[in-house]
Amino acid sequence: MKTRMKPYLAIFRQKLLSGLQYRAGYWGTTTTHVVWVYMRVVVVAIFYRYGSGQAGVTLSQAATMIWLQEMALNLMPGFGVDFSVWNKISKGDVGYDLVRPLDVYSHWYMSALSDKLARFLLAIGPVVAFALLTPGEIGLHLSPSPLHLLAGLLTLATGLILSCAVICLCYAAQMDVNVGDAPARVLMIVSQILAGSLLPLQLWPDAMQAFLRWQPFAAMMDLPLRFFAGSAALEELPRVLLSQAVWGVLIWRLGRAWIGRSLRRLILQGG
Amino acid sequence: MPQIVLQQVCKTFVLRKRQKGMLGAMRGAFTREKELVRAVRDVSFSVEEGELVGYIGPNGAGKSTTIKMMSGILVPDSGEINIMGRTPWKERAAHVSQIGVVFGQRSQLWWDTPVLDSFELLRDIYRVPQAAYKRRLDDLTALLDAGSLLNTPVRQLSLGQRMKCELIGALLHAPRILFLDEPTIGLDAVTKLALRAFLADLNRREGVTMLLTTHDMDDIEALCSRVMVIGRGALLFDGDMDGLRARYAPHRVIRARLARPCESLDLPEAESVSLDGLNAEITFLPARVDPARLIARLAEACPLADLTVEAPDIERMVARMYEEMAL
Repeated sequence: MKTRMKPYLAIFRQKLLSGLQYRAGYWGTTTTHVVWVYMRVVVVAIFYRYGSGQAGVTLSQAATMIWLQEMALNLMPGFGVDFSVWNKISKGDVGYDLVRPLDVYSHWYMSALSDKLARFLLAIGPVVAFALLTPGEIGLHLSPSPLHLLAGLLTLATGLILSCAVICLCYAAQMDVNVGDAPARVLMIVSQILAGSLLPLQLWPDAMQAFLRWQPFAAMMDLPLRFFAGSAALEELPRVLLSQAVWGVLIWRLGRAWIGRSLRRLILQGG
Repeated sequence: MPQIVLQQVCKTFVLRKRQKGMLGAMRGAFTREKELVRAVRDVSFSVEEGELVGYIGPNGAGKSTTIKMMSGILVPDSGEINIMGRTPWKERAAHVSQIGVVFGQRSQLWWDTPVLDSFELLRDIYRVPQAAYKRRLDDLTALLDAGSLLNTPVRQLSLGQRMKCELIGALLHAPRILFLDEPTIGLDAVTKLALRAFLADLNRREGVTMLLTTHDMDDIEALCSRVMVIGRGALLFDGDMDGLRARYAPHRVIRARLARPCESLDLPEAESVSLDGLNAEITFLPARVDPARLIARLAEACPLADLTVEAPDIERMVARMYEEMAL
């Protein structure tokens, strides 16, 4: 097991190292996270104070969701996109990935996973620090119980498995010369919106809630974070895991088959 | 049994033609013309272990496509490829762990981090034990004089320095076969010489089979015991450099400087004779005329101040050969 995982651990290490190469880049990203999260929290707070509608969650829950989202954003397919595989595919450097003694799908899957984890770990420290330092309703509120916290962590981790399958589906779409990269870009944006990273899904219209709950992107971020924030009951846990498992297997198999098909008919031109 | 065997390998690409301009683009959304490009057709050859083979041909002749099929990246439409007992694209992972590949126009190193990080990543991907890796890396860096580059980020390397590192990266797992696709492209003379010496040495010491494509005929002359020429997807020549010359440039040229002006030279054995003041240029076929006798006759006819016998410039020969192919 250890030797089987070794190449993938090395890829993870390399991604982490690459993320730390540029000081200015690192601090720029971190500062953006912090500034952005304050803007979003303030906008939501204004709606709560002056709005007339009824929301299913309290302001402190919504603010907590937003803080948590900022921490989890890097685990999403559409945020902080890793263009290295995209560039390899479009420029033909993909040849080098194909002469490695690794299964191509697993290689790209693990490199997507490494990239997401590396970005997540590099950004989370400062965001957590600011979240805990922010007082009042707009700050981060701890989970109502350790079990909620655990459920959140668990589903966030399993959600990451799904998230990386979506990234690989995008790679597959890009590799297919008949498709090009536009659909993958659209899929990334749609995944951002439907994962609730612009507006937490619980604040969307009631009529859409059933749909929002079962679509794959909710299970990547919004549903797990509800456990953290305490806006979902623990009884929801099996349902979230089921949704992740079903979508995960489906998207994983689709991406795998698609990449396999593209490899058999691959064209690499020039040089 | 040969280490590499190709039998009647074919690969065809489908190009979708589009018309230029706005109207053409809009029309292209509905109908598209297909064009079939036969990149490689019926190519067969075999390579023994330890051979150093040059693979040349004009741009777009199918060199890289052949290399990619042998690397297991591309799947041929028909034909058989057997390398060390395996079909590359069917047992890709097992196959590629035994080969090294360098694409001169691409990079396998991580742009942002020091070279050593990329090497350690390759070590883990190929599952090379640490002790073996250390020994191998020390050997290769010493041979290529690349020790000082290891802690430099790849983006700060010059092309020549990077190419040395690409080579080391491709050899860390001690492959039995090395495919080199234009390894000397864009390099200066000193680096080219260093790389050639390194490749020749590696071939001699470890018996690594090498197949390299290049546009630099000096690479071929310096390194390869065997040359294959491909043109428009078909293998046109397979043999040694002398055989290639005998076929495409059989002539030799005597350039003589005469000691005193001469009215005319009468050398019926020669293919052509031209006289320009004191300079004489005589073309002949060594297969038909004994050069020693020809020179003796020349010296009899006219006292000589200086004399050289030259083979035609190899670059020109290849250029002529490529032109012929295009016809």
